[in-house]
Amino acid sequence: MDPLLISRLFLFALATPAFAALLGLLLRRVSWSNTLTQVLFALSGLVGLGAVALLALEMFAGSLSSLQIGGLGVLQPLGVPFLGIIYAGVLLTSFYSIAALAKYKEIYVLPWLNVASALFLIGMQAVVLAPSVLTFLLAWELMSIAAYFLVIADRTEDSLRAGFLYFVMTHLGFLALAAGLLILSGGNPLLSWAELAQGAATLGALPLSLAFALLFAGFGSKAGLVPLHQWLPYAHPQAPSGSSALLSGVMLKVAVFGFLQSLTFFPSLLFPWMLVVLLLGLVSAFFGALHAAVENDAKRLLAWSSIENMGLIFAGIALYFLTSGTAALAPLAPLFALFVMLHILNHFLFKSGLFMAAGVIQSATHTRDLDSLGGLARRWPLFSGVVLALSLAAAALPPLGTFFGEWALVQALALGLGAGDPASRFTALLVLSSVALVGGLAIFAFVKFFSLVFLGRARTEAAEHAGALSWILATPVAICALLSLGVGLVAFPLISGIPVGKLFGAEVVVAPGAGIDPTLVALILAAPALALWLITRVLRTKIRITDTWDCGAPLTPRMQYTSTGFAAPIRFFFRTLLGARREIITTPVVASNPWVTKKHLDWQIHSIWEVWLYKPLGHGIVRVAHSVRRLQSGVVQFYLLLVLLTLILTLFIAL
Amino acid sequence: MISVFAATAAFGAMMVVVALILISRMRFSSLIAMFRLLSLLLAGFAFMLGWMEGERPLFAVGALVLIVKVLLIPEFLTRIAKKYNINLRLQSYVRPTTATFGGLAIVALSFLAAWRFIQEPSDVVALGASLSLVMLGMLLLLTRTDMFGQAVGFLVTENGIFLLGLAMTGGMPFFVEIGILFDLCVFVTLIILLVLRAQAEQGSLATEYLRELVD
Amino acid sequence: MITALFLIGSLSAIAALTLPKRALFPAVSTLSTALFALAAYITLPLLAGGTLQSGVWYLDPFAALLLLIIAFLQWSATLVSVPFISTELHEGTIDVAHARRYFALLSAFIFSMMLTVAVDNLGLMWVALEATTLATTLLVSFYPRKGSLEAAWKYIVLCSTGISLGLIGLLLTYYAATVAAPDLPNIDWTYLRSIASTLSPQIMQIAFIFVLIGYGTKVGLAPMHAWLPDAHSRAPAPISAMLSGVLLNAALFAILRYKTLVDASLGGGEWTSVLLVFFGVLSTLIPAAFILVQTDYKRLLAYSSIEHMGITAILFGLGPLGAFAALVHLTGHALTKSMLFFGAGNILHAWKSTKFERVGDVMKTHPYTGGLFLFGVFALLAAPPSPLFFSEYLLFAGLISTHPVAFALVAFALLVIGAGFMRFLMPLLFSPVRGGESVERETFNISHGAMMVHAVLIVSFGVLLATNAGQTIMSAIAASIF
Repeated sequence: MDPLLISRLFLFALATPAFAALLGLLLRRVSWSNTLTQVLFALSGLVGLGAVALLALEMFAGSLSSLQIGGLGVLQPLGVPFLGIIYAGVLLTSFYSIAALAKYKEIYVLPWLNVASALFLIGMQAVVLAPSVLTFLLAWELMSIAAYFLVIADRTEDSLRAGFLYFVMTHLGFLALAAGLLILSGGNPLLSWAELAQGAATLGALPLSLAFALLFAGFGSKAGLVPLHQWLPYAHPQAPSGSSALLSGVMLKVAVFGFLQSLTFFPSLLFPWMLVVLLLGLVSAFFGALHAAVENDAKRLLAWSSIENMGLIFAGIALYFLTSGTAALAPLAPLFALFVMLHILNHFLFKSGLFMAAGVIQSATHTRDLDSLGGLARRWPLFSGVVLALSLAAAALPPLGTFFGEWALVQALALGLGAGDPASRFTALLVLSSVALVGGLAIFAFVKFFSLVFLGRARTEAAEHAGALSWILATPVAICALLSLGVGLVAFPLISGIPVGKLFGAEVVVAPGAGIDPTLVALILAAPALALWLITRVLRTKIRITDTWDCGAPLTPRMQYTSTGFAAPIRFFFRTLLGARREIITTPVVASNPWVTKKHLDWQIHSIWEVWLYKPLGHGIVRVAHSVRRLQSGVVQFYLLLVLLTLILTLFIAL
Repeated sequence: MISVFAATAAFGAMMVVVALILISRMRFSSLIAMFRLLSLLLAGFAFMLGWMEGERPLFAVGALVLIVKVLLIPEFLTRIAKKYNINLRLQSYVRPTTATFGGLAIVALSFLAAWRFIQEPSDVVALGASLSLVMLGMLLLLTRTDMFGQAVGFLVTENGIFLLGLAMTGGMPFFVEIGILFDLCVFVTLIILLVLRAQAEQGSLATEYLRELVD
Repeated sequence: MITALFLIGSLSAIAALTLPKRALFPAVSTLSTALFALAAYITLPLLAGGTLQSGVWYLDPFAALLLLIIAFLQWSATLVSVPFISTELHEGTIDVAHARRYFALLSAFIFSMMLTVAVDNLGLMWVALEATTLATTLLVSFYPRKGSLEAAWKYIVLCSTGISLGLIGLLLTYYAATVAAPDLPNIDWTYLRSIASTLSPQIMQIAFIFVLIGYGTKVGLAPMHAWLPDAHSRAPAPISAMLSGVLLNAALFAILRYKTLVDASLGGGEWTSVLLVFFGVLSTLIPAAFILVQTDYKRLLAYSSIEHMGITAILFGLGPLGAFAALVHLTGHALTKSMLFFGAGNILHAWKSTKFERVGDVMKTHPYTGGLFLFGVFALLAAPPSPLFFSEYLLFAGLISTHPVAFALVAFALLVIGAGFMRFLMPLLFSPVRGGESVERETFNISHGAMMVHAVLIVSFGVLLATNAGQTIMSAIAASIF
């Protein structure tokens, strides 16, 4: 395959969104302009995906080591899977947005929203393709600011507040990235990546450490790692559902890409820093899963889950680098790499699918609150099957793809328990327990998510009268579920044969036999189900419809589990970490009778990071600002005094 | 004959003394009168310098200073003050005696600073005197709390700078001097316009009414 | 030819004062366009690297760039002033005499600004710079509202005092020249530059400090900035646009003329650079505090101007790449800030208040102003493809290797300022104001056209920097250093 053709395909995929958005803007009076724009977006995704597939074939066949893309840059092997994810995400969400955005024509200013989406898409692709520090930062900032407009798309106060926090954090991240990259380049602003790596080899330990810390902070804040994660649960739910899917499913991966790419610039990786990455990854995973388990808002739950998964991914990356350096543990490294790549792919699939599903649910019932939903499985049986598959994927249960990725991780950790020196064995034990805890909380969270939305009866009128499901909205979600299932079936054997480490700049192959045969797992799961079905068919047992035992009082949907009730044990156990506060106000109905009372319950949980870090820091800065304000006292003589004092002081100091 | 150094010293000293008296004046008429005297001394210095160095342009400069700073500006200010019934009692943050003591300290410090920076004695006096005038003008700007006081403070500072120019370099190129004086005229005009507006809006020229714009 | 520029300028003033009302607006617009065309014709060829010296005039590429910016901005400001003033005439806020005075003073303002950058003689430059203060004082006090007198008083007193300190610096420079070359004393800059290496370093250092602090008051460098928020927020919006966009740059230009002399005298730029960086950093930190807790959108824009002047000052202290970035920043800021002030003027006319608590939902009733204002805000916050992205990036590159502490401070300041902008300006555009009266929808007028032209220029400039042309220039300069 001609490299020039492939590069032209990439350029087409890069340029088409801009053209699509412009067309949408020019034709904005026409009713089908949004559809046209989304179709063109999808086309760019399709073309890009095709290009990625062709390129991947060429690269793994060994004929190409990197691809020159027009005048824009050079695509390295590391960027290929990430571009694939970007294009796949664009394809799925654009298809979804054709119908999804049409329902919200009054709320979003569609032509301009599509302009922001186009810039977002171009920005993401440009981040992966960027060949130099300047272009990388340019693309990164473009992507981030376009994402800001996606977050504030409905212009409500909540969105503006979420957008504000997002903007401050992304700006902070950008400054950290710029600082880190410029330290590595020694102040030269125009270096390409190759030159940067060369120059970085000459730096001392302190600048290297500082640069690493800054880069980790920058990429980590965009990926949602603790403690720079607080913007994520606010921002992702506010965006339109298709965009949320892209933000959670794709943009976070671009941050991971950036981090992986920047790791290649460091001549040797500092061991303690990788431990820090591991620690923060696990802490993020824990907090993400915990908050997902106790969250009542469907989309915010999914956002916290993204934090959890990103934490696991970063932990996996850290484990890879920690083990690949030591001789005794080196065989484990490929398993960690495998986990990272699989999890990136899987998370993209199930998170995009779930966000789109949440969008479908929200547009039909007009609510995101788990306590108001329920019983949707009766109205949408097939769709609920699809979302069940996605929820199982999110919970990392077989036979879906996520399970196999995490299997690799657990396998590697289990092997690590028996290899290496006592310190590493102990670390492996700690990591394994943390992963287990996180996994448990994640299962809890997604059981809650699925059951409260689909099972039982509708809890409110809105859920009761949910509209019909349009196939065009459900199809992308179904595709995600099917792909997730497919990944489960084929990915492990497929990737086992592929030199995964090539992506990490090392030549490692997954040891055969360290894996697990997914078809076997699928069979083990399917067999009992099939058997049961056959038995019920054969025995022709009748279904009896009757009243269920209700203690004499009629059952109402409100007596079902609520999200708050379901999560109570978790909330209780982790009440300190959740900053849980409960207040019961009791007022007697009649003043003379203290026994008949009206009770008011106020339950609050907070993100402790917000309470102990963000708010105090923010308030502190504002307080300082207020005291600086006093400089502008209004007294002109004071202003003159400032001028005079400055003059005198400068004369004394500078001379 | 008298040397340039002696002339500079004499005029410089006289101007410093007049400025010291000026800063303690709390009535508009005496403030303006002292300013006239100060400017007269400046013009005189210019004339003397022109005569001694044989530089014709300096005569013109002296004449201009005479016309603008001794005649025009003070007259303009006085007429406006009378016509619009502006309060002729000026205000300050510090009492006249405190101002004088402060001024004496400033003069001493200025001469010390001049001595630290310049080695030649003639230049030290010149620099010291001009620096004193500039600083005394700044003192007025910092301590006077009415618009006229501040304006006169600025004018005194300008006199100091003029003295610096004359003493150290024999004046600037002529057309620059004209430009400076022209700017000064426009400045005074603007001050008067603002003063009149303040009188109309607030009824007083006290700067305590000019403290609303805070953040 | 350059003299012709000033003839047109004077003609403009005379026309404003004498022509009948009906002819006022067309005459002013036409003369302004002619001025811009002539200035473009003179300066564009010089930008590539030529100089023009004839009589009292001297234009090198830097001065030519500034002259071009002044000419362009006066053109768009005048075009925006026409509907602006006519709205106010219509509403009765001002009368015809006032309007005449406005255009006459505007012409005087432009005249003195052009004089500042085009003359060779440092003394005349001083006179011109002081003249700009004088010309704009009455523009600051233009409205009979309460705060404008106070703003004008502080403006004239502080700036004139500052410029007088600059005069001391000029005198010291002249003194150094007479000491170095007693027979040919002259304060033409080109002459001084040729003998600069013979000037006494000690005297030049003292002179530079006076000039930096003195003219720096006019530039708005902290802590001499206190007059700026008052003056820039009280003046009529097109005037604020010009004050923020070009006048501050002109004063900085004056400081830089002296910097060249002092650097040659000292034999290197390190001493002046440290001073510029110090005041620049201070000028980005202090406004950050004010922006974060601001209540008034015009003051917010004014504080932002202080910050950007601080950044420009730092950039001029960072060597050749920094100087390039400074020119980019200067131009970008002029275009962006003026655009924002034009928008602010429209908002003020509609909502009659500059306070955030009284203004809201701008996008709904004023989509053109709102949309262009939104664009301007993000361009100012250095979002790509704004040219400010490139200049701030080069700022980071320059600071991080030479003054890392300064980098951290500036980065923090930029973060706080970004937060402040978002905190107030997004609700201004999108959130309704509590208990506010409704405002009528706007119609498209010249101010939007002018803002659009600015927007197109900003994007084109940014794209130019990103593509080969900009990259070639930057790599050439970088190659000479690294």
